Amino acid sequence: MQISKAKSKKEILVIDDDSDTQLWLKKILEGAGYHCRFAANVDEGIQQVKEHASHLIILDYRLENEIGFEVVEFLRNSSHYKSIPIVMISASANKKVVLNAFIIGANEFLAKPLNPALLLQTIKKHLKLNELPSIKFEEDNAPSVQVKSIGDLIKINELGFILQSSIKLAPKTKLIFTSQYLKTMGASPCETVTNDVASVAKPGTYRNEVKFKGMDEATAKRIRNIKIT
Amino acid sequence: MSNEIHVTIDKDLEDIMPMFLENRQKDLNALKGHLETMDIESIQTIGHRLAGNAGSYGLDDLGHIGAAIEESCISKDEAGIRENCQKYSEFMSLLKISYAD
Repeated sequence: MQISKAKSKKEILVIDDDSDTQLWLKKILEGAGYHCRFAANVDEGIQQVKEHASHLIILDYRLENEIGFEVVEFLRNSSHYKSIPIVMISASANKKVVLNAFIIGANEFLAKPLNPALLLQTIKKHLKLNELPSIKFEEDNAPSVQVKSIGDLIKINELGFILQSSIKLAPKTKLIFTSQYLKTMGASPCETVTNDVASVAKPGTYRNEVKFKGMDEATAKRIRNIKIT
Repeated sequence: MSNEIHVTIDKDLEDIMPMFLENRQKDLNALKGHLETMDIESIQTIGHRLAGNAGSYGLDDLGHIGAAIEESCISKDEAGIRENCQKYSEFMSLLKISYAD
């Protein structure tokens, strides 16, 4: 198993109630140069978040008699912690669970058993994304909404992005994506905007040519254009 | 023994493998009690965790047994639960591990 060392000691919080998974993750993550802390339930996890800075959280979907989603909800509703990338993991990787994970605010979903190379690549990607400049949500005739982190916009697949539930699009909202962000995300040409999902890529301003799919009229009016710089 | 199950594990995991195997023995001990009372919820938890962690330790077949235990619990198939727990016990008794880079 070849593992490249992380450049600096990033803090990773693992919330998983399985001691064998914790042990394995400790081995893999510390071997790659990360520093890890562990929690086994929702309360411990939230406590750890409050007490220690975390650059990324690995969260099990199913925790004893709890659902890991509670941790995601806490983080995404907190102005202090909402930008922390969350990689959700589970042996229950059915479509419903995976979709729910992204809708509620997880940045990534990995099915157990975990593959070390894929896990480390995923962590590296999201740590890098979180270091990118902010994305601004601007309005033409209203105060702009500042999104402070890449974590406010979640990639759901090669083409799609979904807004965090905590972000409300104001009327005439302009979405601005940096080319660096798009390059990192590996996005492809702008084609569609659905109710909360935008597929975007090459630089330019998209107005009338932006297609709306499955979007109700009221929501469509809120998105005036999409600008990619 | 001719029916031993030989598995080669990544040498990097050698130091944590004993703990993993010790926990499997704890599982099997706990399952004996859970099977007597047919505590399906506890058996399902053991199966679920095994399904999630065994493959990461290089024991894919054991992970499949864990998934089968979980599935039989979900469908409340008591015969299936006993059969898959027996497979778990047999797998562990026949398992022979070696390590390689």
